[in-house]
Amino acid sequence: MDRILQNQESNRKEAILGILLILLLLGVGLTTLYSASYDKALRLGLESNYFFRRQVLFAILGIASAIVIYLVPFSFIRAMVPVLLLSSFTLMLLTSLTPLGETRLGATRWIRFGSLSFQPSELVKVSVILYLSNYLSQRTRIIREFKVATIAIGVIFFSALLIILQRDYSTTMVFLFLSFSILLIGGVKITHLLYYLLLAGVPGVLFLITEEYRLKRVIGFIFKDIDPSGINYQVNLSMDAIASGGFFGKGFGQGIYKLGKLPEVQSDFIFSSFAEEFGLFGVICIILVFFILAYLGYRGAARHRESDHFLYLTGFGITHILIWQVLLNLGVVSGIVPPTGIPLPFFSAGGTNLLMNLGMCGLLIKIISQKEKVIEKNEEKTPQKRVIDFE
Amino acid sequence: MDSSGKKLFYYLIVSLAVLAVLIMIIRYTMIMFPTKSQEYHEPLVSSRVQRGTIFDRNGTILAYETPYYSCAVLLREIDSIEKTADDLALLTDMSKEEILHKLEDRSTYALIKKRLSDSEYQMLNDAISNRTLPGVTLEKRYGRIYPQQYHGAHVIGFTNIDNVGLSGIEYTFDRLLSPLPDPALDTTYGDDIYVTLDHRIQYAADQRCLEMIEEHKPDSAIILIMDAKTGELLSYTSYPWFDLNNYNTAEVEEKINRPINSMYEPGSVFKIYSLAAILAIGEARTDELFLCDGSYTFTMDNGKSATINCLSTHGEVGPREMLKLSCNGAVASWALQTNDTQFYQYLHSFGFNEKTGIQMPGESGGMLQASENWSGRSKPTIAFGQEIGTTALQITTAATVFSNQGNLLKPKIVHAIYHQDSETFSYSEPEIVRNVLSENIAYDVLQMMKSGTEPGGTAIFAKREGIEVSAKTGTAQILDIETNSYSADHVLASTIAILPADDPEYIIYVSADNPKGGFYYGSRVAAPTIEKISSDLVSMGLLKTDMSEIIYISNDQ
Repeated sequence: MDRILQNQESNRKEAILGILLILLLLGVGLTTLYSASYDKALRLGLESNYFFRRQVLFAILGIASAIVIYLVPFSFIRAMVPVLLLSSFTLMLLTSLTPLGETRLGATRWIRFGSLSFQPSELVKVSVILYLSNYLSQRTRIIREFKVATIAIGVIFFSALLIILQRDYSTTMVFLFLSFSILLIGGVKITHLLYYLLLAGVPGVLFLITEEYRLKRVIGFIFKDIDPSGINYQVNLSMDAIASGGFFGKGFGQGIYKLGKLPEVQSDFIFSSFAEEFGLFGVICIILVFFILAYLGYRGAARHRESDHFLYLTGFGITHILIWQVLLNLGVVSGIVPPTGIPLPFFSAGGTNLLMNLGMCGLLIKIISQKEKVIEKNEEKTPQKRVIDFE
Repeated sequence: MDSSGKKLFYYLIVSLAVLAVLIMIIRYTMIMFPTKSQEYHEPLVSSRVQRGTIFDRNGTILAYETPYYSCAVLLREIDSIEKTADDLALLTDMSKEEILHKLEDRSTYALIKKRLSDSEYQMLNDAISNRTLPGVTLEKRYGRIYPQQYHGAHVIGFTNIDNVGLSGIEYTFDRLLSPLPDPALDTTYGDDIYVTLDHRIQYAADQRCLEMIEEHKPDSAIILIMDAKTGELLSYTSYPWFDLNNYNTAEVEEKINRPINSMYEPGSVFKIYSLAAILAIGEARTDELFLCDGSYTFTMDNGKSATINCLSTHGEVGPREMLKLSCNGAVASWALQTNDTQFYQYLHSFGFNEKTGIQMPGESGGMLQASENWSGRSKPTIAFGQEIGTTALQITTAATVFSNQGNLLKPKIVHAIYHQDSETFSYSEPEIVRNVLSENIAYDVLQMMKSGTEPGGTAIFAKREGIEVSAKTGTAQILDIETNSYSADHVLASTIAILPADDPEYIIYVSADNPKGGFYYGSRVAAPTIEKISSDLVSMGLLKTDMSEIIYISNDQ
């Protein structure tokens, strides 16, 4: 009983630490966004705080939804998973196939609600992770059967197809990586995964080479000298900005690359501006904060591995989404990952992304703070359970 | 196994994340603290190069670089391609379809119009500052402006949209005008070039050219005015011409730099050079008068006979009369009395069959068969300027032999270069290619040429009152490529003049290809233009008339 109480105490501490880290990231992220985007906004003929205001609005919405998610019981969340999945599919289809979808830059990825537009593919990522966690956790006994893998992978591929329809290939790749990770740690047989990966891999490669610009991006990444001012233009500038930061950076607000030099400085390339102003010191701090958050997430999830498979898989999945968004964005910005449109959580301008990230964080904190159910097979009816129930 | 397998994957995937975090930290450290070999260098192209200005010899601007604005769309900032295209179609002279075409297939950045007009820039700038055009940006760039439009167009040349010279001086001196950027400077300035053209003379010549075109309707025309003492080209007209500012809409015909690119048979103008060669070789009995009865028949080496016709019966003809009346028979007979090899060598030393080396692209060297390849007809035919291909510049330049004591000058197109780095000028000096004739023969031929503008001379219309003009006309038959014979009605009318005859200052060459205005002789088509240009030179104070002119004016008052 002591041990459990102790755990309970440390759970709460970790959850509070997690909340503080998230708020810290959000604060730094918003500040950086304001600093990096005001010039861009002015150049676009908008008010200087245009990006910042929108982001704050979504941050408030996000925190509110995180609190709501934290308060509702898991049983409700689990019951809502199919609804969430279906509605995200519906939104995706509405966006892609009906005039409700909003086209920007030649891609139809947004759907408008009043004055706010929303990117359903962000929702798909989360709902599929939740769905997989729920689905797999209900089938722990038959998990190694081919049928289970088939259904799970079917859902994944269908969702991937929906995202591909919106020409969002980098999100698709990340999504596939994340959901297959869930399947792996969820216990699906690895040979089953490999069958399906091969099945999808061949058309995938064909797909990559059929449209020129996709191939160009990959080629431009592999052979950097082919077109220094073309495909890798942003990345070269970004690395230049980072390099100019030095150890302690130029100081907050002192960066010059955000003043028209770096394209997309308010979204995908915001971190280069941050690195320029805060230097290696700031970069390592941010990476460490994200890392600690991920550590808390993985640890919090792992705690439920034996007791509640749903919490385990969900916690793992959320942490996974968060940390890999960060890693991929940092990779793109520093030129070791091909240029993709992956935003940096809490930093990059983008309402839906922030809302989803905060919502997921709400769920993650809930999982971290959740006390373990002790339903170990041998001691299924021990008094310990009652003690916990009592609390 | 089941549980441990799951655990294994869990740890694998988590360690993957940990590894990625470590890689990321190392990566950022490497970028911020690069070892020497990885240091990232700002590419040199980022420094701006201000292309040098092209002036005429007196400092009138012919080409200079100015900023202009381009319109581009940042696709990430726009709400709808359709709406942006609609808006832009209103504010620019482009159609919605054109704009949509430029926007499609782009994902981040699309250039809509490279060079905005002033009014387009104004309207777009207003709209952008009123925040009614999200995602549309105006970018400042630099490009060439040619204030003289078509005057001297073929000499000046033009640059492409990336500011690289494509023709004329812009091409030949591209590296000088637009040097490699100096990384130490914000802006690297190119050297300025002062071409030999005098804009005033160029303008007058172009006007006279237009008058000639109007009256005689030739397919094309050339007027070259050269400084007789230095070989500098003061005016350079090649018609049809084009506006340098709109070179991309110009026809190919208009862009041909005819004075150096086009090779043709010069006709009787060439007699001054063949006569000079004949006199220099001295084998022909030019002191015996040639009796012209309207045609001249001679027997070729193979025993066949050939006939050369004159325009009329010229009677007794000496060298002076030959030039005055343009007698084909006389010059043909003297040529026949002259040694083939030497005749060829003299003509070659006048600069025919070789490039003059003028600093413009695409020069033709002309065509003159070596004497071994001549047929029996060749020598007499060449003597009156057929069966030889020359460029207008060759004809004009060869005349410097007569104005420079028998020395051939190199034609010049660059008068001076201003070097930005040393802030000094370097001027071009007259350059003697070779001595062609003795001073006496050069002087004699020049004096004989005066007969052309005397009463009864073919070039009488080239003479302006009060100026002694040495001139020779020509009406060349043009070879019809399709029939490979001389065309009946296609001629090239031309006149060359050296003036004033006693102390030459200008060499003026006028040619008009295929005049269709009723007259087609050089004496009627080209010679009057020389008279008009001489008058222009007088009125600009660039040419003195003799005393009678001054008295004439004072009498008039």
